[in-house]
This record gives sequence, structure tokens and C-alpha cells, in this order.
Amino acid sequence: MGKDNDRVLMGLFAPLFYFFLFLILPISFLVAKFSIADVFQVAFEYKKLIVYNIFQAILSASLATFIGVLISYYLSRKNIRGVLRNLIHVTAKISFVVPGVSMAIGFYLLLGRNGLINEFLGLFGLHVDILYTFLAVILGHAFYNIPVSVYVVGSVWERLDGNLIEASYVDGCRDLQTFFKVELPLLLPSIISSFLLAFIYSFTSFAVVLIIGGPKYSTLEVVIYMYLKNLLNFKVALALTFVQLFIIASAATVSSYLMKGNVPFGEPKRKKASAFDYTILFFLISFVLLPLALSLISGFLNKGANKSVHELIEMGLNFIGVPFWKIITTSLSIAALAAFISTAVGTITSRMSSKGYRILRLFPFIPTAFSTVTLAFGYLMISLKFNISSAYLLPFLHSLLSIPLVHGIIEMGWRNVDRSIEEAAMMDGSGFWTMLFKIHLPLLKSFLIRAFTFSMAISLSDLSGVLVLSNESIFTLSKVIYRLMSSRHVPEAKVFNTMLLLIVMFIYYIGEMKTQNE
Amino acid sequence: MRRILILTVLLAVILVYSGQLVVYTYDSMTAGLAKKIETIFEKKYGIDVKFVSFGDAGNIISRILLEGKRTQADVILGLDQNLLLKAVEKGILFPYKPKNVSKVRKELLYKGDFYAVPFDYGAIAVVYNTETVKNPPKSFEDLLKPEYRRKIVVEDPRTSSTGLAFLLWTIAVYGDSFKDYWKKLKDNLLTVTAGWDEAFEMLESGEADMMVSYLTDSAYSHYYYGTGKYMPTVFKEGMFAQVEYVGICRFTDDLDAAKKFIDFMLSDEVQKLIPLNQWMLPVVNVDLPEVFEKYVPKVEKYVTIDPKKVEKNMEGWLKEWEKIMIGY
Repeated sequence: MGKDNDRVLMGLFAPLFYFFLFLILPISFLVAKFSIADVFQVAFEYKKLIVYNIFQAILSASLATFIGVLISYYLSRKNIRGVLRNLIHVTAKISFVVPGVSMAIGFYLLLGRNGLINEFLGLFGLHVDILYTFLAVILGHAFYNIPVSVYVVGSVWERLDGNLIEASYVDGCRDLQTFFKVELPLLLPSIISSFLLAFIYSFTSFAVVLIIGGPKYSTLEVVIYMYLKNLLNFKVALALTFVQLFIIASAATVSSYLMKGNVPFGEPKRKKASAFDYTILFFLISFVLLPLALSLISGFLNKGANKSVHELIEMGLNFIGVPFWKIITTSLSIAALAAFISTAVGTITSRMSSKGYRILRLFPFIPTAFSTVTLAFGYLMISLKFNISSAYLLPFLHSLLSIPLVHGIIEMGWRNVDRSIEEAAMMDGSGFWTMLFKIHLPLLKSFLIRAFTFSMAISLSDLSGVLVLSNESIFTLSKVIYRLMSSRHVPEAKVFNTMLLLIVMFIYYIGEMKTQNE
Repeated sequence: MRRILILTVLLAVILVYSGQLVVYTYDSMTAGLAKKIETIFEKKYGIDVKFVSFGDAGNIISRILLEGKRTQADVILGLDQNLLLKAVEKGILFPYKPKNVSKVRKELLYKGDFYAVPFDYGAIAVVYNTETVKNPPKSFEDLLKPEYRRKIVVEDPRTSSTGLAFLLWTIAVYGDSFKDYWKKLKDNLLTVTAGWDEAFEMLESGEADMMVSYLTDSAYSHYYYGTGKYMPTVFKEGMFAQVEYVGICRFTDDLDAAKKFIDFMLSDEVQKLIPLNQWMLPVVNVDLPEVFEKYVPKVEKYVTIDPKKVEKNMEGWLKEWEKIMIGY
């Protein structure tokens, strides 16, 4: 028994140590002198904006979760196989990491006044204004967060024991009844988890909300940015950050009370997909796919420059002065390291939180309350205080950025580990490590792979952290794109941006192939 | 053992950085102008110089504030008017009057104590798509015309320096009644973007027809890509310049070298490099390249705001703007 207690303590201590070192410590260096009174004062001043912000995030998260669950349904319960299935998985997940600017292009080309939809409607003499409305904000956030839902809900649904569904059919239940009576209760923890993530990401949305909605729909994050970067008023910026932290922590806590229960794993039951199913699925996927495809293509079309893609790449590399292979290897090694750290930490936090240790369900969500720039400046302080090159801290910062998602994905895995198998193994006298390598890791494999790839993608797309912490010898793809863009080398920047997206898609694709090989 | 290790590292850091002039600047500078002037400076003065960047210019000040006395910065290169105010307010600059300052255009100098000197400037301007806008606006009043309804995009002054400059421009022109102007302008704005990049994408994808950008845009695009379908327009109320400054960091450990660098930035040699690298105008009288003569419209009149007024009112102005654009 003593050994078990030790393990619980380790399980709590190790992740809490990580959060202390890489979240609390850096933030504590930044906390300028501000009082609780300041927090209340700014919260009061921006109360309308905050209320609207919460309302917007709830609606966005609802739509994202709804569509995400529908897509997960087709991927889990219909027999869509092979390359197509992987492709859907990949595209359904990529939007989450697409930088604001490239997404903007996609939205304009699809929904804009000369966009695809209006071109089409124009044939019938019609025109719709979708952008710059509240609806656009909700749609845009849904677009961004559908991947989260497909990841979290889909991972569980795909492994739901088919015999349960079979039994329900035998009892005379039809599809819809089976869904509400059997599947939904089992999927509820994952649906709540994905809703929470979508809520948090919609709540802290920044560039997207302005691009597709306009200033009317500004979030608290925009105001924080103004105080932090524009007015250099750290006091108000941090007070507002704590308001944000309070809202996110409340949401995470509420959700932790709603998430209960285990899900029986087993061989999934898949029905043959009909032509109708394919049509619906394509309609849903096109929601994500169309803006994305348009954005990708526009990178290679480079309007406004009479140059070929090849020439633009060469011009870009010349301007930056760093060889291509170096950029790619730097980006990928930082991403892999970050993914390794976050997957390791996330595996422990999610294990403990699935066992009911709520503190480890709360902590993984706290980083989302802080903007990346704030966190990065905190890391900078660490590097100064302890004389460490700030670049070494970059993978840790990136791991922190992806912890909420990684935790959310792997937690679903843990909830599906059959306790009876664990007990049987314990009876057989299996030790901790045997259990870990022979039982847990194989069962969690697909969740771990997906968490790892998602984490890599988040690291690859980060810019603010890289800018603050890296130095002249460290060039990631996102930094290259930023430097080209801010030096007004727009066509070159767009080509590199498209390359970044293709790399992320490739990583996802490999990950999906690996999960299918089980 | 550990102490020795730490000491060695510290010593190594000190050795590496001593005898080297460290210039903190914004990211795009390091790829452009900095590369060109680095070797010239080193050859001329025999002083090793290193440019360090952390993203945009705002990050430079935050960084120095965090680093405090331990900062390696000797020189700060690339603060605009607003950031310069902040830097002076936070006390991170060391005043120095360069020897060759008399050559600099008077109206660009920072008032008072030579905390920093300008090294380039450029007007922000409304830029329009020549294919879709046949009758471009020539004044702020023109910009309110119904024909431009929902065709203009501006950057958010809360998140973008270009956007902030545009807001200040309207204040320079209209004074306190800038609020009335924005209330009217709001109807003609399609949206507001977080940064210049997104606004430019709106122009490129045909979503918007006009944006707030720079007077040198057309020259730039002709120079690099051989085409230019976006043209800047000059407003008769007067244009607004973004001025970029260079100053000495108060914590420098090599004041002499830093002073040399400031003098150097104002030399004809560097100033000649400004147009094609910074796409801004030099602050001293040097010949401009052909593409500037051809594609950058001439400005007769500039408007400005008293820096002290900006310092006092900035937060208030931004909140007023929020009120007008968001409604609460």
C-alpha cells in the first residue's frame, strides 16, 4: 500500500512541480504591484464587454461542439475507410493551427463580398453579407474549434464497444434512440471536455474575432493586448488577465463536476456509409475544408507579384539568409521536444484527474488565461534570473501552450482504460512499469499519438513566444513568415505560410496512419 | 563545481558582450537595413556591432524594463513617436545631442532633451485599389462620401502601430472633434483589423478597396514585383508622419561607441540607404532613388500633435475610440 501512496504523491507532485516551474514562477516575476481592488475595478469597467464575451464563447462553443460531434459520428459509426478517412481527420484538425492572417484570406475568398458563395449566388442575382456580423464570429470560432471536438469526442466514439450498440438494437431501439439512451451518456464527459476547450479558445480569441467580426465584437484579450503592448500599462493588463483567469478557472471547475464515469472500450460497430451519409459528411467537412483550401491555394497563386513559386521561395530565403533545411530542422526539433514534454506531463495530469484529483484538472487550463506574450516575458525573466539562454526555454513554453488540449485528449483515453484489466494485472503481480508498458501505453497509444501531433502543430504555429525568446541563430518557419510579412515581402510570406500548413498536414497524416495501424 | 560553472558562463557572457555594441531593434530591421550598415560601421569605427530583435518595437521597451540594469542594450533603434514617449517616461534613454544634428529636418526632432534623434520618417496614407476605385479620396472629408460605404479597412489602434498613427492623424486634423469624424467614418469602414497584414489581405482578396498603409507602397511594389495596382493618395488637410528614432540606452556600458553609432545613423552614408531598405524617407538632404521620384507622391503639408498632449491623453483617446466603435 505504501508504494501506492508514494505513486499518488509522485503523480501529484511531478506535474505540480512542472506547473510551478513553468507557469507560476514565470508569472510571479511579472506580477506588478496590483491589488484585488484593481481587478474588481477593471472588471467593473469592462463588465459589458466581459458579459458579451462569455455569451459569444458559449454560442461559439455550442456550434463547434455540435458540428464536431456530427463529424465524429460519421467517422466513428460509418464505415469510411482508408485514405479518405485519414484525409478527413487531417483536414478536420488543421484549422486550429492556421495563423490568423491565412485564415482571413480563406474567409474572404469564401464568404467575402466577391467570395465563392457570393459568386455562386450572384448567378441567381442574390447576395449575402455574412462577414462582419455576430453570426460570422460564431461561424469563424466554430471553424477553429471543430477540430478540438473531433479530436476529443471522436477519439472516444471510435472506441466505444460495439456490443453495447448491438444490444440496444436487439432491444428494439432505433438509431436515434440508441444515440440518446446508450451513446450520449457515455460520450458526455468527452463532449463536456471539448465544449470547455472550445469555450476557452473562443473566449480568448484575438485576431480572428476582429478579422471576421470587426471591433464591435472585441474580446477581453484585445483590451489586454492594448494595455500590455500599446500603453505599456502592465498593472491594468495583469488585472484584466486575472479577470480572464477567474472566468476560465470557473468554467474548468464546473466542467470537472460534470465529468464522471468510464466508457467501455471494445471493437467498434460501423455501418456501411450510404451516398446520403457521404453527402452530409462532405457538407460538414466543407465548412472547414473550403476556407482552408482557398487559403492554401492563394499562397501559391501570389497575386500581385509576377514571380513563380520557386522564385519567391528563393527570394524569401535570400532575404532571411538562413538555409531552408536549417529552418525546417529547428522548427521540427523544437516542436518535437515541446510535444514530448506536454504529452508526458499531460499523461500524468489526465491520469490523476480521471482518478478524481480535481487540482490536476484545473491546472492544465490555467495557461490559456495568459496571452503567449505575457508568458514569454515571464520566461524571459527566468532566463535572466538564472542565466539560461532564453531559447532553451522555448520548448517548455510551447509545451505549456498545448497542455490544455493534450490533457483533454489523453484524459479521454484514461477514462476508457478498463479497470478490470488493471485489477487482473495487479492480481497477476504486475508492477508499475509492466502495467505502464504492457497495458496502459498500448491502450492509450492512439490518444498519445494524437496529443503529440496536435502539440507539435501548436508549437509550429506559435509566433509570439518565438519572437520573445529566440535569438538571431534560431529561425523557425513562423518567424520567417513574420519577418517576411513585416518587411512587406507579402508574396514570399504567403508561400512560406502555405508550406507551414502543408508540413502540419503531413504530421497529422503520419499520426493518423499510425493510429490506424493498431 | 556548480559555482565554477556558473562563473565561467557569466565570464564568457561578459567577454562576448564587452567590446561589442548591442543594438536592440525590431524584427524587420535586422533583415534589412541592419545587415547593410553593420559592416560599414564596423569598418569605419573598428567596433563590433550586434543587432538583436524580439518582434515589434513595443517589445524592445518591455524587454529593457524587465532586464533593468542587466540589459545588454547600448542603443535602441526604431522607436516611433508614441513608443519614444513611453521610453522617455520609463526613463530608459540617455540624452545625447549628435554632432551632425543640424543637418536633420527640424520639425522631426524630438522636443526637449535629445533623448533620441530621428533617423527616418514616412507618411501613413490611405492606399486604394486603382482597378476598383476610379475617383480616389483627396481629403478626410472625401473619405466620408457615400460611394466608399463599407469599402475602407483600417487597423485597430489598440493593437497596431499603423492603426494608432491613423487615429492620431485624425486627432491632429480634427482636434477634439475627432470623435464626430469617427462616428461618421464608421459607416464607411468595412471592418478593423488587428494588424497591417490582415488589412493588406483584404485589399489583395478584393474584400476591401482602401486601407491605411504607407505613402511608399506603390514605389515598393514596383521595385520588388514590377507591378503596382495600389496607389497612395495625399490628403489636403495634411499628412501624418511616422518618425523613427534612435537613442542611447541609459544602461549602456560603452557610451562612446553608442554616441558614435548615433552620429553614424545620421551620416549621408546611412541616410542614402534608408529609402530602398526602410521604404521611408531620409531625415537629411540626400538624393532619392528613381523609384521614389516616380512613385512616391510629394507631400506639401504635414500635421502633428504635441507629444505632451499625446502622453496625457492617449489612454483616454483609445477609450473614446472603443466607445465609438464598440458602442460601450
